[in-house]
Amino acid sequence: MTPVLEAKNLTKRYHDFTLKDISVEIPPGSITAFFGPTGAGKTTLMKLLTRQIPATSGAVRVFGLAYDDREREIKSRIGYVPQEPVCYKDRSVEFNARFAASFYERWDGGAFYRMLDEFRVGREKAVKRLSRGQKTLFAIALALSHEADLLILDEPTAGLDAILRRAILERLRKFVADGERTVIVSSHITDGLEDIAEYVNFLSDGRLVFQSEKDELLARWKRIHFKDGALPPDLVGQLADVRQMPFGSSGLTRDFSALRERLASGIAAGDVKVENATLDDILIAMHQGE
Amino acid sequence: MSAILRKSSFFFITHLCTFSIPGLATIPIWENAGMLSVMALWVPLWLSSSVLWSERQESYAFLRTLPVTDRQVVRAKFGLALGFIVLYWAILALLIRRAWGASPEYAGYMALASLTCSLAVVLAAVWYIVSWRFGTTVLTVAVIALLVIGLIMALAANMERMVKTHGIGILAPRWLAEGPWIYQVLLFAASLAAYFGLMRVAVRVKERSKANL
Repeated sequence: MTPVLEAKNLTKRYHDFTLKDISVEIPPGSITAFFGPTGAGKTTLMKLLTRQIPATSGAVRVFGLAYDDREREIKSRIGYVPQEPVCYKDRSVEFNARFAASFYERWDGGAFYRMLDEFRVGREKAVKRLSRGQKTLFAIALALSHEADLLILDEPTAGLDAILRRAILERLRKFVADGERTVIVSSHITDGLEDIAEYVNFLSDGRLVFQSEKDELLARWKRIHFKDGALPPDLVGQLADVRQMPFGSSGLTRDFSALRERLASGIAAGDVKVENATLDDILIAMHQGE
Repeated sequence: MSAILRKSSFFFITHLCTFSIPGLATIPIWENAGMLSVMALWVPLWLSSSVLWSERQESYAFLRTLPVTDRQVVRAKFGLALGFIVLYWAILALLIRRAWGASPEYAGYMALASLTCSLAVVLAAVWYIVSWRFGTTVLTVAVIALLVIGLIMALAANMERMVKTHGIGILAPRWLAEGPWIYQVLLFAASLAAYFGLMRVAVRVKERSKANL
């Protein structure tokens, strides 16, 4: 399957931070999430993928095209939602929409205003007077109104309440429902995204620590609970995020299949209990491991 | 008209008006229309001010999220600057013709207008490149300095002195005023060549720089 976006050895060097050697392939018709703590380089990566800023080295191809030759064509097929909307903030929502619309051949003004109404964002209001959530919704409406094939969102749910967060995630799910369109989203929180993302990547300190299919990741990583005394001492070093509990202990394993046989008797006796790890568990363990 | 041109034109015009006021106030403009040629030196100032404004805050970052290339941005703004300078020169030529038609001063003032407009073209290009390379904020001091220099020059090249020298004052070189008209054409052609050369440099600078983002 031809990737909708392909980055090779992408590097961005700042005086105090470097995003190093990122190589990713994003399959079409999917939702791919980039997680990582604050300052990991997610925003820099999103800006590089959308050619907001020039890379120090490396290359990005989108829809099989290179930015150097076809930037305008690529960008007309991308909907980009920055962490904080960038626009003429002193001017109204409508003014900004008209300005943006003039650059797109396939602008659907009806869809834009329907979304504004649905999200209850006033079209006459200056962007700077919108709330944090409304600004994000405005940016999403802008990104969704030119029939984009690829949506790239940088922390779209940060700082939003649960209802708005769910509404946005539902939009993303609908966007990819036809199997043709693709979403790339970055976030420092997994809340909600773990349900809809098919591929997950983890960034830490400017490096891509891992990339995987979410289901495969969740199948490998398990949280194991041990009753008091049931945790073999030699196993402690193999587990991540080991916690002492009132009646035992628990830890995460990156590869449950390697321990399955060894723990079989404990599981059968009820001394060991295995449950699915959450994406949060995994990301925290990864971060601690780094 | 493209949105970039429309937006930039708005800033060009508002700044043109804003910065013209103190200049116009210092000279009896309607009696001595030739003095307008000195003001051509302020054209790059207006242009750079426009860049300061049209790319201020997040305006350029907004543009980067849209299907626009840096090459388009540079070409639109260079085209606009050139258009304004040519327009300014044409207005000057008309005013000078009206004020000094068939008099000895005419050639001097036309030479002055051509010289300042030719310089303004190159200065505008350099101004753009510097602002795109280092960010518009570093130009603030330069803008103020140029404004002061422009005012001093306008005052220094007063009407009386220029009339006494048939318009060939300290600002208009004799070789240009008294030479054949082709000299002025060549001068403008040379500045145009420099301008388009600098535009190519500006595209590269703009693509590699993250100033104003």
